[in-house]
Amino acid sequence: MKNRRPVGMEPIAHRAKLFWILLTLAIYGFLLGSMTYFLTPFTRVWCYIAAPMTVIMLYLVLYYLPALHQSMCYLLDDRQLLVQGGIFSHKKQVMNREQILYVSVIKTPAYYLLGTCTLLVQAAGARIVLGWLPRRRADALLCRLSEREEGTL
Amino acid sequence: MKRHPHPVYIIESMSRFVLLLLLPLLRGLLSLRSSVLIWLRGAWFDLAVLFLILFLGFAVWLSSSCCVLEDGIRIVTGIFRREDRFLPYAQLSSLRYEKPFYYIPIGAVRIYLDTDAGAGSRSDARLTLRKKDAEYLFRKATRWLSATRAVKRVYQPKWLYIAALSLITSNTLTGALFFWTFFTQAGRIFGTEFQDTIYTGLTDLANFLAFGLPPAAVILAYVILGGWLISFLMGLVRHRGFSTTRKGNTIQINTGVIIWRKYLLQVDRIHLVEIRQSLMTKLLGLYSVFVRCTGYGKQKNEVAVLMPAADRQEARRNLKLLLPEIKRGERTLRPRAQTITRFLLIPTLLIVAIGLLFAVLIRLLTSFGDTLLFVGIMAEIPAVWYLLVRVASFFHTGIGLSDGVYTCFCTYGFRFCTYALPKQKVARFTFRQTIFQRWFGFCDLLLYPYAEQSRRIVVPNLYLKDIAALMETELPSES
Repeated sequence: MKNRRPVGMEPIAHRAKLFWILLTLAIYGFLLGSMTYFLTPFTRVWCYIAAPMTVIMLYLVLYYLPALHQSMCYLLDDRQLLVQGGIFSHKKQVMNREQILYVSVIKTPAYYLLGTCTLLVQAAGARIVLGWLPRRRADALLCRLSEREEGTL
Repeated sequence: MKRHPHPVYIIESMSRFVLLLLLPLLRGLLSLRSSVLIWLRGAWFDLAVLFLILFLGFAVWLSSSCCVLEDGIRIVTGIFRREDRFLPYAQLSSLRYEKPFYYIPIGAVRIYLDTDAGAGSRSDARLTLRKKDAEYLFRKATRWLSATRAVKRVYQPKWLYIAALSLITSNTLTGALFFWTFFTQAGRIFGTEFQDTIYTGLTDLANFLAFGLPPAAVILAYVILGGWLISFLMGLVRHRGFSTTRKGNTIQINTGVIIWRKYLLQVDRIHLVEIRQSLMTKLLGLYSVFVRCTGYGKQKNEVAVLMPAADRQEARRNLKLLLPEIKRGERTLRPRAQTITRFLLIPTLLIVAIGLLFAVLIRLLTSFGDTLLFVGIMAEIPAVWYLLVRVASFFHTGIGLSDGVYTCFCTYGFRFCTYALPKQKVARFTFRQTIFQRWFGFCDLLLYPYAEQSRRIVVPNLYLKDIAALMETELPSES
């Protein structure tokens, strides 16, 4: 798979990849199971519905989700925060550091299960979301962005 | 040190849902004729939901905390989605301290914190704290933002000026909605008999004070008048005891009697100063001064007032005292004489259209002739008033630049507005032209101030070349 991350940029959301792949497989399993319950398996109708569903699932699990998470990265230097990512719609978000007003840390049950949290970087009229960051990296990033001490998380 | 919110926050966070269950439960209990056990058998599910709501409220309270630090405040909220924010004092635009009279016995105070970031419709952080914690936070923020040796300058208006502010800012819709909410909620609590009693009383009063006018017209007139009066009284109560204090880099505003409020605004974060007049106050020579600062004037029915009302000299003197950084200048550019038709066209068409409409209706529905004639005359009055406002607007509109501050003179509806906006607070500007304006070289200037919510300033009918020079913009030549 082609490496979509430019040199010098840190990855984000790579832990989410496993979560989304498992979720896709679970949804696929549920739909397939429901279809099997209502229709006789391996009949023509069943095959016409199951085949494209399987192709879509394989595309998501083997290509799209891994490529999407590999493309998501950030770079923080003295001047600005740059976040980029996306496959079909590739976005580069830039925010000057002096425009940043405050940073929020959001922890959901995923923090305790996967050790990830989300940083919400707020400026006037705009915000950048850095999701699924591992705890240590989120802590370090938070300290650099808001000049707080390490270990805040 | 970490602090939890005041325990009343448990009720606050779940209050919408608790009232939905509590009131019918109480009514059922009060109208009980048999044993409590029978009532319990019928109401057990509602009680279970009520306890679940209270338990969730307790969980929300337990998971919320704040920590007042030397350079900012750290706030943690949420159960399943925990949000941890650090708001530096340097980034705060406004801090609001609210003490409703019903919280005084329990020593609770509401604090709202706002920066230029976040959602435009609500504050960035809202806390209900114990009074001493809230005062500690307020002192820390004030000490950080304003030099302790700075001279304090205080402005306190007379109650007549507060009444003038209520006169300008009252509107019938607010008062009518307030009365309607009171009426329907009272019916839910006290029963439909109470509602019918009020309704019958109001109908009898309207009949007594009809003075020979058609009943439908009378009711409409009294609804409009009554709604406006309620809004006026609400405004008076809201701004009673108003005072503004400037110290260092902060402006502190105290206002209210029933719900006492204190606002702390950072002067650097004030985007612009707005001077507002109606046609009536323009003739009386009264000015009301407002500011645009994130967090101030955001709540429902709240206005971001700096000076409720003052005459011209007093307004200038007090603005120099409170906000010398944003100096109001004079008009250097104004609409040219040939643009007066643009000012008068719409109100003239409105007067003609209303007249024609009611003339046709009276001809078609002769049985309602009296009522329609009355309503038609009532409808023409605001249209004629609007025409007078537009005539005055032609002489009021313009723009000037002095000491790095744009001063814009414009009209919105029935209001005359003057905006003083520092150059560095302009996020962007647009020259807008219709086809006819393009032919003659005129345009409308749209200024977008740097702010959390985008509310533009429109100065119409200026000569394009002149305004481009004032805005220091070179326009490309059109081939």
